[in-house]
Amino acid sequence: MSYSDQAAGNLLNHKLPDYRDEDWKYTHYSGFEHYKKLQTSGNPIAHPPLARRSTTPFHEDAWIAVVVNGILQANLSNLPNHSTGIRVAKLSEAISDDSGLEPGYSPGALALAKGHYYSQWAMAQGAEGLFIRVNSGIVAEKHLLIHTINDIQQPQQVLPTHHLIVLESNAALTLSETQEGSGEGMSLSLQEIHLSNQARLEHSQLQLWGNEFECIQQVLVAQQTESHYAHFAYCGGGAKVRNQLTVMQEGQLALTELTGLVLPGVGKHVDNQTLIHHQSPHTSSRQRYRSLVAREGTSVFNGKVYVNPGAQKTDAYQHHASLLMHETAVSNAKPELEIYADDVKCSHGATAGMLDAGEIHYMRSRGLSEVQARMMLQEAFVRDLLDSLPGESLRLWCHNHCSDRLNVLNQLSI
Amino acid sequence: MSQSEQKLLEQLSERDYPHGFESDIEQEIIPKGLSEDTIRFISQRKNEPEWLLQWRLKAYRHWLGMKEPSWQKLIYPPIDYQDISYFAAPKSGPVLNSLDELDPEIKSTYDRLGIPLEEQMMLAGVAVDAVLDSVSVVTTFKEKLAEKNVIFCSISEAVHQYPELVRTYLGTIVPYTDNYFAALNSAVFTDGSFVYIPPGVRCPMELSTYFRINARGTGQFERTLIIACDDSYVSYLEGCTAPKRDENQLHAAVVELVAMDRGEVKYSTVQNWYPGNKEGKGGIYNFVTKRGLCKGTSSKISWTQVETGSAITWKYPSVVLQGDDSRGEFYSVAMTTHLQQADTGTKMIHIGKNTQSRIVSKGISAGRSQNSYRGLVKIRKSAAKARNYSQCDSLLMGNRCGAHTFPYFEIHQPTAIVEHEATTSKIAEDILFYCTQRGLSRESAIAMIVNGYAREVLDHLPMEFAVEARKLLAISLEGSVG
Amino acid sequence: MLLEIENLRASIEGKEILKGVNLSVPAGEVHAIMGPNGSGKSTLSSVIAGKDGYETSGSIRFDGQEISDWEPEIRAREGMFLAFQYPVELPGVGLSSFLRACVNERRKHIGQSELDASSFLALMREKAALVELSQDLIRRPVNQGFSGGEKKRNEIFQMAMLDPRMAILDETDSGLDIDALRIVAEGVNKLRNPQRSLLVITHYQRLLEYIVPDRVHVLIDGAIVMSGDRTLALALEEKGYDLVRAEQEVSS
Repeated sequence: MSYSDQAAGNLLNHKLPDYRDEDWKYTHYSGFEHYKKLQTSGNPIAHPPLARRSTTPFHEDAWIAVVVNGILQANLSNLPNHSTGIRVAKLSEAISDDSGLEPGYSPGALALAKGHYYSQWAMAQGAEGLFIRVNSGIVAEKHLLIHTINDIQQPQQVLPTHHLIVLESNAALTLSETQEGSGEGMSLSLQEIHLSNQARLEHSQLQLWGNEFECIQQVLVAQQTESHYAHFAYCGGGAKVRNQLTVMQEGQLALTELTGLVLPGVGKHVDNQTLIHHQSPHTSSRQRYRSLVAREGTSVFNGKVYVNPGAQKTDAYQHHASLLMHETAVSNAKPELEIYADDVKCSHGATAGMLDAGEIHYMRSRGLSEVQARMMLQEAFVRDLLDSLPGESLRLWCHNHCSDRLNVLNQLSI
Repeated sequence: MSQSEQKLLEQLSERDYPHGFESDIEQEIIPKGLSEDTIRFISQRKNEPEWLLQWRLKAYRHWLGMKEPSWQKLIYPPIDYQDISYFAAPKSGPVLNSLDELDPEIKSTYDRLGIPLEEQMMLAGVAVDAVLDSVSVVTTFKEKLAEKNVIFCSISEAVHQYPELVRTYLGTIVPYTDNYFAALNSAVFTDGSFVYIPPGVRCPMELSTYFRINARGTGQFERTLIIACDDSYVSYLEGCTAPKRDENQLHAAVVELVAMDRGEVKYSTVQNWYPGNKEGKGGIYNFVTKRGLCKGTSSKISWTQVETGSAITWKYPSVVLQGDDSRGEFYSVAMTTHLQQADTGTKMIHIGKNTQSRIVSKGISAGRSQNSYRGLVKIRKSAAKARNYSQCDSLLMGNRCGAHTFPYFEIHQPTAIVEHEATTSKIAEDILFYCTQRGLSRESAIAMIVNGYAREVLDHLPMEFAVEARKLLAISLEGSVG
Repeated sequence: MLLEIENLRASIEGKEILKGVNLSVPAGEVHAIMGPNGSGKSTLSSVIAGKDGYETSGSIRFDGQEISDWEPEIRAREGMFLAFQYPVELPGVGLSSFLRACVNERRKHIGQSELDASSFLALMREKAALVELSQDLIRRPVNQGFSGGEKKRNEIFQMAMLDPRMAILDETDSGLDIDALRIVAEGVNKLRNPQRSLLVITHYQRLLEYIVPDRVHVLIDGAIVMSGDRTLALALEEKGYDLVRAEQEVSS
């Protein structure tokens, strides 16, 4: 049975999640039934997104994969050639020519068991996307940028994509994604990532969805011994966004670092869920998320650390901080620990609050305007988070984008 | 793990339950089963007014349409609610006013529990209400309290003596629609304590209730209501034990507290229901709903609990902070060994302005037990400048147990400041080495460290209870040392 | 001989730290062990005190008895005291109740009656004065909120309370300013007597100006490579470990 048939079978046992499901308590998509009728397959858009490429945060000489509605646009892309040991292809191509898909890395290997309703649905539709493989021992000499564009033809279309990313042992890659979409559409994105022994993936996802656009995304990562997964999420757009990041630390000494910066728009909703599953001894994870919530905006953070029996010497740290920019802003947080091993070091912290009036007053008494003072304090709130990002150009781009967005959100929040 | 530690942990799981005796008291027990007739029987037996019977029946009918909650991290076989007797009472008759009238066997039951009814009367001046199975058997110190117009009696008595007060508040803080076990309790509750502190009165002594399940095949469903009027203060203590039995017994209590302007209630619990044996056989299912309403401005409600007993604990003593400037506190130590399961925590619902809450939870898991903290901090839009601080620590002893933390934060008010910290750890080897190097055995070092770990919570208990709780934590470990 | 160590080897997680240490300390004498970082000084003190987690061989005799297999608390009750380089904090455990339990365990072990509350308090007051430890600190949990210097003084205070026959001071001088060092050293000197031996482990000669040793041993790479009187400590300070070692090799 193909993985999409299996997913279709799984769907029979799932019902559409609603507020009664613990994981979907704060974010649910009651309109999805309606969306489902209007699935769009990938029609290439008429206008090439070259103009936008210049706004992306990456080196000129990055490899670029342009993906429109799930379909790789080879003519608009600049892909690594065969000799680099890196393959970037359509998922369907990789499945049909079968060259890169060892059994453990087949599509659905992670998502059939761990995927939520929407991921099963995406697979059941046979969603198209990318297959990326970095061969054993290859350290990619350039960044790889995936430029994702969702281009709806009519309102309430849902656009599923499915990427499969495999880093063989000792391989290393820096992968950055920009995700764009506008109009009343929905992106349904599933990614399965396999990191073999000592593989290293630096993964940034910059969500720049339009104000009416919705997104449900699930990234599933399986990490083998001494692999390193670093993920940065920038949520700078969208009407209702739900990101789920599930990391299974299967091998010893695996290291996971998750960083998130969340800026829901006015009246918008962004939900980030993380699960780090420590399955082996001597694994570590570090999670830092910050949310700045504007007028009528909602930020949800649900981070779970799960430590298996026998996963001794696990070291897990998690912190979430929320800054509420307006009296109508809402923050829901649920940092969870579930621990079945005794020789572990796990801690989490969460804070929520607004800017300190005394600090603003102090700055105003030195001659700054209220808006300037707010901006300065908000930027300070995110600075050390951004400063820890790898790559100068990414850092700079984020600082700028974040400043611009804060500027707009502040004006709308006053 | 060293051999001695392995041994210690094994023995820790085998700690004996010192309150496991059974008393030979003449009992009246109704046949097992639950129906409207059962409820009519209980109500009639207690000579209740019609409104209360009707309320019970409404609760029962509502309960019939409800499902047992399943979201908590607890595993237990389905409970057969028809296999429980809902009323058991010592035959000796009505509530007594002094210890001299008490059945000597009942008194000896309490003596063996180490509850110093007499001694406390004489020395500490603690007024005690003792609830055996379903009914209140003795309430001490009535006259002294009456001088201050403090009412402290069984809730059955209050229904007759102070019907307006009971009717005004009963079920307003925990309505029978609240949850499955609260609905069941509302239908079948048999007794419990009632406390009323009039305006301006600082209750002259600690009030205390001891709960004891004695009869076989019964459940205990007590209901407590405490009203603290303007500018009043009361400290209330609750302790519980049960005999060792192979069967699981259900304890589904409801506690309602209300504090008016500047009123303060301090509610302390040392829960030591029989936890079952090391294979997890027997033990109490402790499914309890406790909630306080800070109704008045600057009122304060504080919960302190030391949970060492019960096969399963499911309880979330909560505070609804309605009055401006009101304060809610929750201090908890939950210790689980062998196959015990605890899912406990609190809810702090901030409604009024400048409301403050503080949560300190210390979980200790040993053996093959599972210990979860579950808590909600909700800041409503109206709760300007609300503050919350939560700290949840877990201590794991041995690698077959689990410690879990499930805190929820729902913040709808930007001027709120909410802070949360949680840690999970085991007792570090270098700390144990430090203590043993000074001559302490590993076992007493562990007991001392565990008590130190729990100290921040124990310090909030009234003196007599703190001593008892410390002993309880130490005994649980001490019995483990061969 | 109060303490006699023969061919002591110790390894942790497969790595050998002590590679055959021989050392004898007669009753009433003060011996110093000096050595560069990583030479095994702290391991030696931990192994003598019975810390778990080391694979050991060789012999440790305390007052004639072989103690290698003893639990750490038995060694402590017999009168072996270790002042830790990094004293741990015991959250919530009051210093006085902690010490009372420790003192009474030792007394019971050697056949003395337990101290009642008032004589224990009197003893604490007396011994606290020895190292100028304030009563405020005694009421606090063990080492919690103590400064670095206060922790070290607390170690010597506990030593005074437990009245050991043999005390090992593991880098007691580290992290102390000159005034604190003087207080600690004077406290230790007051505790010197003809029955009690001290093993002073230090990186620097400085402490030995205050606590004058009878013998100085040099521990390098897990073995004692030379011994001498206190002038050896001065030579080490002046010339460094490498040079002294080189001279030693040349002359031998």
